[in-house]
Amino acid sequence: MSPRSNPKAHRRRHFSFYILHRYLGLLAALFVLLLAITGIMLNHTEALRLDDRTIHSDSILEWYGINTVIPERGYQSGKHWLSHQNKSVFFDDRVLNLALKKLTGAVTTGQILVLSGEDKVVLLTQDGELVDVIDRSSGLPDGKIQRLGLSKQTQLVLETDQGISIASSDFLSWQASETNDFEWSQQAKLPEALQIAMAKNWRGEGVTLERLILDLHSGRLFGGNSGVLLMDLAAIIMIFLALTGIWMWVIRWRKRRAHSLAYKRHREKLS
Amino acid sequence: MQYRKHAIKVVSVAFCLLVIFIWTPVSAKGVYKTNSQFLQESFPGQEVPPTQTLWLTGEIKDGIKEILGHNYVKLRVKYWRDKNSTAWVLEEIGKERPITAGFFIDQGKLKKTEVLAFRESRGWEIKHPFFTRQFIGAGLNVKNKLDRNIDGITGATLSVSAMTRLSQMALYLHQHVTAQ
Repeated sequence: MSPRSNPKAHRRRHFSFYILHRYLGLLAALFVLLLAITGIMLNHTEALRLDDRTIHSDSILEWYGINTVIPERGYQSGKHWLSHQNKSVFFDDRVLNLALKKLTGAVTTGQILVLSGEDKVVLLTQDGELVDVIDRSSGLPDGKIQRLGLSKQTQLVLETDQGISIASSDFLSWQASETNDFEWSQQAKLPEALQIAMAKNWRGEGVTLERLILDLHSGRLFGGNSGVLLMDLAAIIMIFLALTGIWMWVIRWRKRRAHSLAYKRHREKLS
Repeated sequence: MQYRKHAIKVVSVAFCLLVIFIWTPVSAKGVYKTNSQFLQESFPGQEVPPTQTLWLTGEIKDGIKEILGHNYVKLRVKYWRDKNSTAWVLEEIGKERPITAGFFIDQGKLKKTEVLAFRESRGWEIKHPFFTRQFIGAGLNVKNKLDRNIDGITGATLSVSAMTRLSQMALYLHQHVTAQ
């Protein structure tokens, strides 16, 4: 027997959808409020000056990964300081567009500023422009780089866990060295003024209120893809609510119509 | 009751499908080939020639800026040369991250183009031979553009454009070093 021909089953189905609609509606209410409020705010970005207002709250900036943990120590090479924090390399107070797991040394030879990670050597100009990156495929000696230094003839020298090597003038070929009479780069405490400038540059202008509300609206604030997924789920629930709402409304409307027709017929019979 | 169970089942299945859809890796980014592998394949049956460098200054810098639309990321590029053949490993940003590509050029024509590393989440289709073989035999015209049209790939427009620019740059640099 089909549910339509079985009034009890039909009522049960209607009731279960009603219950589901009710509880999902309660859950979706939170998202609807969030989306509606943030949506209205975003519609009036200019009037509310959302793009002009920046957030300086430590917790929100840290949530965005803009933390103020800046290095305390670094390598001084010529006029410049090279330091490292969370894979980022600072050239004086600005962050370079290169990622290193660790900074193992920095020296200046000729006009080139050389810094090393554990598995690569990076060449920079005195303005911090990237000249080249030397890695194993470009002839860098095997082993993890431990430290970087200069010979008495200002040749670049590096020590890996497999020995000491001296670089050619173009840094592309390396020769093993038996001696250890080199000047190795040493870390030192960064000047306080530099640390303040680094913190300021690292944070930039902070995060605008518009960015925060946009990320709240899209769900990105709640953890990137997972947050977006959460908002997708909320949208699916809202679509479900709209469909079940329409469906229940149609059922009630048909019932009411059937009732009124039956009542009309009954009145006609009586008269 | 039976229908309530059905509804819960439908919602659960939809949720699972959504989760699978979101978490299934849609990209194939990664390092496909090391520089050394590319060089060994480019100079088969012989030792890879020694690494040489070219500083991108003056006229070359301007020429590259015209090709790429911006300065190259490095001031010095490495290349490998054997007579009139050269090999180049170059990098260019696709959308946000650099694409590393290898080019082998002989007599001013591209003989081999390969994507060595792709780091973006979309556009990795450019690594396939159906795309890279379009470059084989391509040279530069007088305007420093490729002398042929490269067909795009839907959804990989920026990666295709980056590869086209890099191939032009490799040919331009080849012209420069072989003319010396």
